[in-house]
Amino acid sequence: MRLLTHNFMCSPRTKAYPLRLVPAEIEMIESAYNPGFVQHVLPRIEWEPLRATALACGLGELPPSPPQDPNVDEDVWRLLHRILLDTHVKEGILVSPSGAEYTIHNSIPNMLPKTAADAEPKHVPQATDIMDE
Amino acid sequence: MKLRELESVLTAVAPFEAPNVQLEQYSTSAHLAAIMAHTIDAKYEGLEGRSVVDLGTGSGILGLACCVLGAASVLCVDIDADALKLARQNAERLGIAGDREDDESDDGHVLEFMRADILGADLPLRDNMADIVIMNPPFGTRVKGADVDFLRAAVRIARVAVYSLHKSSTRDFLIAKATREWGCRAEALAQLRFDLPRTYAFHKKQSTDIEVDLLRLDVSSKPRVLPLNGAAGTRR
Repeated sequence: MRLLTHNFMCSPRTKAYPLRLVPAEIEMIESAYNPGFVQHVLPRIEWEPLRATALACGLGELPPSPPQDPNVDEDVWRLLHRILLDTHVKEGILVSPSGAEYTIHNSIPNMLPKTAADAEPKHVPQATDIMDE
Repeated sequence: MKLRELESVLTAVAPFEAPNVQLEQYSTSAHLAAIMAHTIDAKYEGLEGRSVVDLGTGSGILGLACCVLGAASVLCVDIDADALKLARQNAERLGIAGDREDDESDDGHVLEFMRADILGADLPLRDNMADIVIMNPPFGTRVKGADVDFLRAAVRIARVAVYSLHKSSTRDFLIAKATREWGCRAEALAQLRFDLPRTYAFHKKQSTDIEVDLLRLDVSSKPRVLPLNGAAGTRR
């Protein structure tokens, strides 16, 4: 599981976010620098959780806000590429804000509740969900 | 890449050996997978540089087809651990390294796997996290409403478009739902024959062709947040 995927994941039932990553085994696999794709996904990345996760994984410190111009701050863009695409969590745990735990094994996160008791309460849709502008 | 070439590449993908009836694990043929991915690539948004999610990936064939056509990232989701194992093996068969335990190399593909329930509203992914969702969901014959739940989950996580196979008999119902309830522009792009081989013991005939639609949902006009409640989600 790359950290790109982790940034997009939330709790199954409640959609609570973010899931705190507790890595047990991380592998770095260097890939060809692809600023185009990083730039493409950046608007969908939640920045603060990414910063926190990068720190927790010992990958270094991202600036307080996302970079704007791919032609400036190349170091930051390269660090982002390394964090999002080159960092593979082989083993570890994801912890939801309510404390439910999900295991990452063999690079695959298992997001099924372990037991019925682990299942978080069903999300109750709010009327404002539909056209929440 | 030409359609025929893509289909030829995808014939290396192995189907299920022991499909799960309850999950409606009918393997998507190389032919259908090639048509779906090629349609996106040649006639609509294109796959180059796109982020793609394959829901209920099974053998992985749809997600892998998108990898072959240059998608920048592909996330394959399935509830079944055996399906994910098969999908990963199939990626290896196609020479797509993805994210393997013993994978030391990089071949430019970002291929990810996640085990999760898609029924109800359980898909653990944020809204609008992907460009495109491609899928061959359950037709909803074993768990009523499963097809609608998959489609709703797909609409929720896609920001550009959803491509999905459905029984033609459900076309009007699904298009009306996608249009009126989810605010999408929906159309059936093609009617295809889904050759259901005699997968399960209760099937009497050797194989049956059923009519399926390739639906395209343009989600760019959807409301920012969709209601979450699922129609099925009663399997547990």
